[in-house]
Amino acid sequence: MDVLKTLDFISYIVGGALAAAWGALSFWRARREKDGSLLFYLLCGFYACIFMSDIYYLLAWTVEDYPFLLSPGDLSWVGALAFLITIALDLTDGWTPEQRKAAERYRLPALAAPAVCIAFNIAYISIYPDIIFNYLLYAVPTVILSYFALWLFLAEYKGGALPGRQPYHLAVLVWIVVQLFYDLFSTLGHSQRRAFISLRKRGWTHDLSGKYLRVPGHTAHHRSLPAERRNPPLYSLFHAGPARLSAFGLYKQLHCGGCFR
Amino acid sequence: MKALPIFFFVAEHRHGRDSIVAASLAVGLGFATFENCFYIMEYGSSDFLFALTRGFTAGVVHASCAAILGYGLALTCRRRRLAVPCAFALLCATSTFHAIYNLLVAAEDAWRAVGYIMPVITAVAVMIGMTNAKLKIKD
Repeated sequence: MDVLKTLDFISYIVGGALAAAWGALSFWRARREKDGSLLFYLLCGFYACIFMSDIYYLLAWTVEDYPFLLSPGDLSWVGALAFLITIALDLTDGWTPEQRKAAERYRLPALAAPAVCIAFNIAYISIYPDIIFNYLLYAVPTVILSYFALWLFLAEYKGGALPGRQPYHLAVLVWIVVQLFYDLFSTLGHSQRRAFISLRKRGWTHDLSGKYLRVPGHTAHHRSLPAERRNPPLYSLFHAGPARLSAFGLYKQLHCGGCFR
Repeated sequence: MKALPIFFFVAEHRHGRDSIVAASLAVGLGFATFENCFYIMEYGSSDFLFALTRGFTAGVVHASCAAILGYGLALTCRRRRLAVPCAFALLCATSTFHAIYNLLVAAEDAWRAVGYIMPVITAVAVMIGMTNAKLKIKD
């Protein structure tokens, strides 16, 4: 096993173990709570999705030798985002009409977050044009979640009368930003388009699910999948590790953010 | 597809949490039964042990996924604003769980055995959780 794949494995194993631990803690907390247990169940669902995404990628690398372009692991990651959106909606449910009115003025400034997300996503899709459907499935909930996180952070920070859960919303924003920056800067200089054209010349293609296949009848000089597709440079290094680590602060922030006084 | 009856049940009827989970379990088991009948009709039952193992574990997987989906919907069904994103999130989670099972049972040797054991462990955990919840309500 080469160095980059080993680092990938370590990253997924550590990330998955941490997600499992924080998910178990959230579940235990949800069982203890009388009111507000729904929030911790949702947070447990978020960590469970990240854990299953890591497990799927690990198993795909181990059992099948390479992960697919669009896989259920990515669907689980989208599910994690959906759980965070549900948490954001739940946190606004308890507002009084006066609090809701006070928060409305921060909706427009909160649009800055989706604007930044969309800009990053456009840049990333230009680097990876062959996984545009994969990325759109991930980008839409990220944009929605970033809007909610920034809106709620601004409203509670400036609103005064609103409950103070700013640390939680800030943690969500940090998680999104780390993801975006990491995904973009780890792939700068690596052109998926060039790699894909190179693969086609050497007799590889992929089906609709993204699984790499041999082109029938092509006289291939390479028996196995070329290295640049197994381990894209830099991307393998601590795959989304910083993003996963920053996610684990969400439990702490939700607990300490004044939700359940 | 098998989540649609659960969504319909939750949307159209005002039931308690236990009823929603029971209905979800029933849908999951029913789908598993239908799938097993379909596989036996198409591939035959010459390898009886494989058919028995696959039938049991697939049933457990479908029932577990449906129970988890139903429990999550039961927590949010009374608040429609939460129900939609929560339902989508639960669908993604249970789909990934099912995909992990499919990946493992399609593999060789030890991985296949892990794939057969995984849903059993999950089902036991779900049953313990549901039993504890009922004991808590009684207390």
